[in-house]
Amino acid sequence: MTVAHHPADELLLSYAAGTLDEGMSLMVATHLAYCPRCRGLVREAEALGGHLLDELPPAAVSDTALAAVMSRLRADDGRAPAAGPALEASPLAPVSGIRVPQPLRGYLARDLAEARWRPVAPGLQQTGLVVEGAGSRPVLLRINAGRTIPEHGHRGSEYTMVLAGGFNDGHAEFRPGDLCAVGVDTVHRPVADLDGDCICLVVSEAPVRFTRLLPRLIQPLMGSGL
Amino acid sequence: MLLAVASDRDEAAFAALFSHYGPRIKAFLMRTGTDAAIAEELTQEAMVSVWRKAVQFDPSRAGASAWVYAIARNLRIDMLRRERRPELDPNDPALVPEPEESADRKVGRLQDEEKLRQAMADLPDDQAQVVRLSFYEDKPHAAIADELGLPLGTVKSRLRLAFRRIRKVVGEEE
Repeated sequence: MTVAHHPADELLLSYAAGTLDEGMSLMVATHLAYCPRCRGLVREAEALGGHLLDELPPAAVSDTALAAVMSRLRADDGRAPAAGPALEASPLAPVSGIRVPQPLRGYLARDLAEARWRPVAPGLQQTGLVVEGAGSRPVLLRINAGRTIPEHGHRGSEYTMVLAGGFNDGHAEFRPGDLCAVGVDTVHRPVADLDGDCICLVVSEAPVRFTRLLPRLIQPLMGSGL
Repeated sequence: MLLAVASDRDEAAFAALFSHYGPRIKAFLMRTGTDAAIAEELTQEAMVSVWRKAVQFDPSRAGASAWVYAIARNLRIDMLRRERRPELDPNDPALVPEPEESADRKVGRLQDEEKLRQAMADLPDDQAQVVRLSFYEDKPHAAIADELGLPLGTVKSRLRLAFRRIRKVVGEEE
């Protein structure tokens, strides 16, 4: 399986910079699981991030900081060094025959076959995903085999990544891992392939998000809770 | 040094990492307007993660600075933006594997500091600016567009062009 349709370079760069919101990051990170090419690009962008970190004029850190960190680390001693996080077996593979890779799998509460699919049009159902952050709201869309989504336009950029099955939008064919990006001016009429339901992750780019980093974290750090 | 921390739990090597990265992580966090005292707390938090996660450091996948950078970036997202950071799981059995040859050879050139420095220095100012606003100030495309009074499409194309130029200087791509 080779992925043919990739996120634009600037999306990969911004994923590495950490500026995409959670929904968009989820989309890009899940694409990476399908796509060695884009993993390579993100590695390059993170190398740039490492270089930019190195280049920063250092800010003075207090004399006691290292000692404070060391004493926390010594308190860890005796604990076995953490191995990678244990992987939960995919609950999805055997039942619905769909292998949903991480990180998307971690966002799914239950098997895709049992998800609460809400009908939105004939042959078309969707179910929402819960993200913590503000911004774009990712949904899973299911187009029944062979069904057509009526011609429609878009209010903003919209990204659709195939997880199972496939569709053809009249311009190109999209199969698992492929990302279809459409802008405001795009009108299209996707038709699901005949080899089963087409399940997609859909993220609509959120309206402007302005970062204003307020020290909301002061509470958790002080241990006072919220 | 990261490898010494990973395999031997070498405290002297960790102290050396701390003296290099600690002040830079703090500076990095302060770029988003974070108060110095909070940035200091978070820097300690980041260095604790460096120690704990050192066993996961894989030099065939990333250079040390890129790896530390990713920890600082994720901390910024978790703690300052209060969002989850969806990340690839390299051990996921559902992952489509890489073709054999790709990784090792590439990482060598990615860590070529001199080339990266040159690549950044050679970027046209307008492209370097959007790269810095992204990496240092955590500004999404729309916020950059707003701040610079540019159409969103222009911000995206500047980032795209910058990334392409950097890749061209650093490697043999395109």
